[in-house]
Amino acid sequence: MFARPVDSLKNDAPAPSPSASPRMQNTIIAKGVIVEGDFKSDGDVTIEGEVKGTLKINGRLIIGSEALVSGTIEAKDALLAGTIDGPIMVNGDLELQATAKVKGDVKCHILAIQRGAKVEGKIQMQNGTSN
Amino acid sequence: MLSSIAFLYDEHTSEKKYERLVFEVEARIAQKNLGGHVYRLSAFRDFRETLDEASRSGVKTFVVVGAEKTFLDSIMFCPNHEIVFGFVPVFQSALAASLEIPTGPASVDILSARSMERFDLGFVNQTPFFNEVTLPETEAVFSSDDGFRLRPKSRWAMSVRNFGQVRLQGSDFANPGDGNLELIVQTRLEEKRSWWPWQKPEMGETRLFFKQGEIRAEQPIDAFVDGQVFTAQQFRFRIEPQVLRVIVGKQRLTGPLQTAKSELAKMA
Repeated sequence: MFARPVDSLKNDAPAPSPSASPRMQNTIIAKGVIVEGDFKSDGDVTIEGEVKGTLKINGRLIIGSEALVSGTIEAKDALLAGTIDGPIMVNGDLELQATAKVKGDVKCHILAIQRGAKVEGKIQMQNGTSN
Repeated sequence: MLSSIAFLYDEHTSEKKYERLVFEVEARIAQKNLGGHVYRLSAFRDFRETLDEASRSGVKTFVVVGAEKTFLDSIMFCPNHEIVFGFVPVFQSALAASLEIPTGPASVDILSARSMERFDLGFVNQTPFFNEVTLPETEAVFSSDDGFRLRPKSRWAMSVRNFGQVRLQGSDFANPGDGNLELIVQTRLEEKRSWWPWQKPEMGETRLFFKQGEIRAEQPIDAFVDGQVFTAQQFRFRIEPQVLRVIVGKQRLTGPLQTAKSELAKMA
């Protein structure tokens, strides 16, 4: 009757299931939500709401046109279309869309600014060139 | 004699309409030589006592025959999570579909194949949950132990997901093996004054991941923990990675989740 006990399972080691495979964690902060404090993420982050504090993003940061950020931004890459009040440090590419309003110093490696974007602050390229 | 496998038949299995199906399940269990101790839930038999008794008697594999909720409750109330959990659904279940477990006697073949997956187990105020915790519209604030908090501009609905087999608008299935809990927040963006009463208001969906955190409200609020209602002012969350072992269909271990998704789509 107990010839094949189920407890002697063949696959006792963690199985490489499709759900357990590493997946990019895409964080979304939607409109109508306020984030306060230090927000860190290893994946990509999209912000459409409001942030009051520090953003440290190891992936790509997207800030929507209606988003408001008051505080320091650190990201690997960033595409900014909203209003930012604070310094921005981007290790890779930074793109400022036409609706972007930045009040603070900007530091990045590669910069693209669309016509209409506003920057009140010092722009410093990581190769040392300052404007 | 101690049995290492136990079957828990819930109240649904004693209903007349499932009589034939349950008979077929039992026949398949006998055919596959999987027999073990049998517990039958009834109005007179306490669920927790049954789980305690099974756990104390040295059961290594605990199989729920019946409804999805009984399966989730067994994980929630079982004092010993070293046990391997199995599920034989007697009617269609979205959770079973996600686990690649078919309904009825065919699910006994899954038990017999003995493929197992390890899952994270979520905890809310020390109560374990496998699937998700949902909080209906509230003004509660979420705080993560990582140093930030989330505050709504208006009332919102929240869901903390581990397995979270229900697909929310625009979001994918939660990953129950990544060591993170997933917070989904739905906010009503604006009150639309429409002539068309059936027009749905625009909703915003926030989605983030955390390991430990809490939801705190000014008044006691209800939270549905895998279907069980808990009322409290503060809900503290944490996750224990890869502690739960569940027998699943081989398709889940080897193939994409497309089958589960298509089954869910069929059921919708």
